[in-house]
Amino acid sequence: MSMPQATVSQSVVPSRAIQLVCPCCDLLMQVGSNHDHSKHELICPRCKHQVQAAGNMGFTKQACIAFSALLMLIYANTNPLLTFDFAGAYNTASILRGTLLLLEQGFYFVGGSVILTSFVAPFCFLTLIIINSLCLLTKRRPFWLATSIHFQQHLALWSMLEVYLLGFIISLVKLLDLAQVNVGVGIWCFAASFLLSSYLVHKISGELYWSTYAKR
Amino acid sequence: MQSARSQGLAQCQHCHWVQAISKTNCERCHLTIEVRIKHSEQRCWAFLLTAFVFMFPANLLPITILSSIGAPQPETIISGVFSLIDSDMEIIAVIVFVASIVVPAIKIIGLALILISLQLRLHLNNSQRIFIYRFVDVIGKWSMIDLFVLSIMVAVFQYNDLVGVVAGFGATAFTAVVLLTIAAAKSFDTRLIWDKCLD
Repeated sequence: MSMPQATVSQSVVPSRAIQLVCPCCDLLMQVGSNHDHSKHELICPRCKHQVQAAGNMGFTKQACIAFSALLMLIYANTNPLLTFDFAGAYNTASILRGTLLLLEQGFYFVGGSVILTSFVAPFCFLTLIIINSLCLLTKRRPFWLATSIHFQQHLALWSMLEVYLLGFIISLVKLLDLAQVNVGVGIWCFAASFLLSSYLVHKISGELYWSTYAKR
Repeated sequence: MQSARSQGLAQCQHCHWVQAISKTNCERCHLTIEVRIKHSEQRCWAFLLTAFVFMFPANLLPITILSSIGAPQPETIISGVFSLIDSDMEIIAVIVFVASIVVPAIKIIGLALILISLQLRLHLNNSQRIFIYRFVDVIGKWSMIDLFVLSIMVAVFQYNDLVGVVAGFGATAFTAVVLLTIAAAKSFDTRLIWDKCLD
């Protein structure tokens, strides 16, 4: 467990100290210039908010993991999550089919919310990681890069893959009571996509993106 | 302990760069700086009250309509929980009850409590306020479970001639409650807790 490195700011900021502000409580802090944020997380001493996460995953690794998660997500959305044999009729269910049926029934708001949180948000989040990482790796700085990094950070909040997985387990238990259910390969890809994107959310350092962006 | 604003400093909400409060655009990412979320309390109240109003149709109107050989059977959230208990699926019933009824209610009550305590200066310390906020923020998205179950069930029975599942208007109201409470939590600026009440 890494220890917090921040100290509360005094009125005079010594040289070779970096000023930081807690985004949660606006506390002004200072850390030594030798602070290595790749090894130590930074916790606000007042509100205990994690100001900087530990970890400094390189852009190449981020892009590779995001690409794998994206492929898994696309496969999971287009292939059956489960197959279900009920009263002689053979049924399959996929994520996209379920949301499209809700839209067909006229429930645009419900279907739109489900598709936003289970597909669009994680898809855009992973795509933006790939695009932004490649831009920073190849030292390109298109005019939309700052906005793109900003959206990447916010889209993670709307990605609800873990909630969908729990929803799937509940549906599975309900259906098992009725008939024979076979779990499709789609759900395994969905679970893999969830694990990879969770790993990215916890390991990506926003500071690394912005400091690399500002360097060039 | 000093806040950045009292020292004439502001943090960019996008890249977290610290700079003089007079800047309108960040020196590092060039995006617009907002020292505090504008009209944070009013927006939070607006989202909360709208969510509270939608709680009634979400819980009273059917969320799913099960059509089998007999008459269509409309099912509200709470009747769905009772039918799960009747089918000996108590654990699932508890998960659905907590995610669909308890969590939205806790979110509305928790955020309202923070706002009222700030506006009326009630006896709550800042650690308790931020604990309530973080709890509300973390549990927020788990209410979506019922909607995901609905979308899976609709897909499963799409080609079945004996049983059909369609969404009811309660589902629309419930989606509104979930999204409005998430929006309320996101529109609340936690820095106001320390701006208003310095422990």
